[in-house]
Amino acid sequence: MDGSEFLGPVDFLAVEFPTGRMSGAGFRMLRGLVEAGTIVVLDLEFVLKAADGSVTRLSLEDVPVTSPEDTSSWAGSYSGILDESDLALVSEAIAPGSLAGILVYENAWAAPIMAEITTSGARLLGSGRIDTDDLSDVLIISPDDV
Amino acid sequence: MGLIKTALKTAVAVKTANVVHDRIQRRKQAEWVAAGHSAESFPGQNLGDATATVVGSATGWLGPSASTPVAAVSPPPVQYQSAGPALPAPASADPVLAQLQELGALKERGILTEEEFVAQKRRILGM
Repeated sequence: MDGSEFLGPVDFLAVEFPTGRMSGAGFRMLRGLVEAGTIVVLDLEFVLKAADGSVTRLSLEDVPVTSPEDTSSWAGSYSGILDESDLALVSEAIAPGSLAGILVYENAWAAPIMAEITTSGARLLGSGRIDTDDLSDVLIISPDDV
Repeated sequence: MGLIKTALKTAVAVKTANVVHDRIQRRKQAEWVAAGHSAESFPGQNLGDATATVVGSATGWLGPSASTPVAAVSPPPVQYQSAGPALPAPASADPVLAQLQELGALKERGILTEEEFVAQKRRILGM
């Protein structure tokens, strides 16, 4: 694969499932991205916040899902690169009874572009996220517009 | 107030993908075993494999421990074969040729860099 020695930007996605279980449909969509080589899954972790506020890590197979066929193929995605402070931030943000999933992924689609930039003699100055609130400000989008 | 918040000064293209993918893969495997599974059952060709994504859809779902029925997710045989480089190279009667084929497959999958590939090729060929 072109540019495979370059690491694409790494992002995370943290999602709360207020019912304490997930449908698995999101996994079906993500699977398409993995299959296409668009992203590489670096870690997938789950935490469950009990009614008393205590938090436990869950392995994928212990996560309550509506359609297991969507998640079983993700077995072995847990690498444990998130530490306690990461999980504490997630658990602080969710309600008791909620399940949270955290996906750490590489934007592999960018790797060939990085390679092209470098080999063509150009220099990468930076890349990153632009805050969508800031973007809305620039475009003068108000809540009335949506 | 602009959109870009951080200073732009350094080249951030990092050529560490192979190392990162390899380390991640090792950690996933270690965690899999630590969770009470056997090492053999690690879904190496599954989505859990950070090094296998270049394989694409053809072999991505055929992990040895995939708990979904393989038939339900298996692509047609022709498509499977088209994954070529990702599959183990066919065993050759000539050990040198077999090693070169294996090496080529590793490079195709992005596991070996160009430099590593050339170095290993020289070693195999005794150059």
